[in-house]
Amino acid sequence: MRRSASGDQVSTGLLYDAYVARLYRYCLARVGNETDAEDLAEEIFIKALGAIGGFEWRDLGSSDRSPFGAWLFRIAHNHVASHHRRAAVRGPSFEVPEWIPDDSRGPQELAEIQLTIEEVFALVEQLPDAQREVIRLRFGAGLNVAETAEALDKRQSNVKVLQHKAVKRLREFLLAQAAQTSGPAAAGRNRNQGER
Amino acid sequence: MSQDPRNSRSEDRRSTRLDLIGLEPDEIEAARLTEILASVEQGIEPDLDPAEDPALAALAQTALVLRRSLEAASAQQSFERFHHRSLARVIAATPQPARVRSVEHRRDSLLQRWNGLFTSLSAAAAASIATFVVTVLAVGGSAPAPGPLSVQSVAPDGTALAANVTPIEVPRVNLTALSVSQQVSLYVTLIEQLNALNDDGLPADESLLRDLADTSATVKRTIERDHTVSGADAFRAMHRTFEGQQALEKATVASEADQQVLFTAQETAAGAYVTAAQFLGVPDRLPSAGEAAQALALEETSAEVADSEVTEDPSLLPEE
Repeated sequence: MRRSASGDQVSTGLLYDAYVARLYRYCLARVGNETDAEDLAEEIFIKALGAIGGFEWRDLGSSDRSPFGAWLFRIAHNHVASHHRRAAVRGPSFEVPEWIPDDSRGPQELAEIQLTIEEVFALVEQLPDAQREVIRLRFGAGLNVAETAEALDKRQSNVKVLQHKAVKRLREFLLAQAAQTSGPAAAGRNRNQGER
Repeated sequence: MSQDPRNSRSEDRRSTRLDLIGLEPDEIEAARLTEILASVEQGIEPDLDPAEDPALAALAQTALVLRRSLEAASAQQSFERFHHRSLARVIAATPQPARVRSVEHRRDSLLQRWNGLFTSLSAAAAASIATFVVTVLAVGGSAPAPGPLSVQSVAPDGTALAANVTPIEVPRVNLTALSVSQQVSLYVTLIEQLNALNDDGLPADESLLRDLADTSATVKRTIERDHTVSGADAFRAMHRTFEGQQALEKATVASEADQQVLFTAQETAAGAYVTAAQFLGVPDRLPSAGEAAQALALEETSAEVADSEVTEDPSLLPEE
């Protein structure tokens, strides 16, 4: 990072390689389409490069990951928020995708299934703001709880609770969808499996 | 004596349980979910029995489905294409405060290089290099950088000079860990430094020449052995090592020993150039005009950015 800040292009390349996938997934989870996610990921990294001289190393306690991630995703959080504000002024450039139920999916299959990015986006969009952002940072950007708390300027205990509520709610959404597609009998089974 | 990991985990669990005392049930479940996900992220089997705690197991399962689904998005080919496209633009956007453009800056850069050498050589060996550094100071002009290490020597014109320089850690790059594109980028940076010395009529130092030799030799080996090298990569390597040969032809050195290193750097540059050209001689490997232009645009864009910075920032201009 120090070398990248001093203009070392090789170090910049390595830093980009290390973070681009996580940055892209985070952006994808926030905007829901690949083109915008690509543009944003690149813009955010270049913006971070410009500000890298101001980055200060901070110990996040038990975390064994780089707090650079927390710093980068704080920039990402703000940058995508600005993107949404600009998009709101221009009018929506995309439709929030509808949830597309898949008949083959019940709770039994949850362990094996893989949702499309449109499905994840549609699901996460239904969450309250704070829960949504925690999910994107934890599961899209791959930040741990300490880094997520740092990026969002929240306490770690708060992040844990938000994560828990969000996952619980997302599971309810998934079960409801499975129940709709599988009929009343399946819904009863699903409830039994999903509830304590 | 090694500790049984199961005991260790059990102790961890007890200490976690103590941490959970006084929390609301939802908060306990939130903490447990975090703990389970952290275990999975670290590749450790989570401390969770689905039969004992089906609700928590279901939540963990949902979280992992989300994570897996999002991770799949960056495993697609479209992401790989974006990654390659954007890498060139991001590298070109690297801030260039240390770009070697002014005489003063060139001197500082060389002082840093020398300081790196100083830390690894004996005082006696370093003393012979001091003459070279002082030569740079004499040509570079203004006041030396402050620091704890004091160097005194005699300039070529006989003037006694003193410089205070701060030893700076110069980390080494593991060349083989880099992609051929990154190796060529590093080579270009080194050639720029050599060109700067050539322009000022200064001799190339041994460290720089060794770095040039090592880098071009690694580029050659990577092109020969790495099956992921593209035609555009080889095209760029061929052009840049050709420019490297031209710069090395103009280079001067301060000693007989350095002359040997210069010859090596010339030979390895020629070797990398020939290997890249041979690589492109195989049908289907030649890049399209667009790919070739994009490959070469990497440094040109970077140079334009740096030029605009130099023009805009008067402090970076050489002193008259």
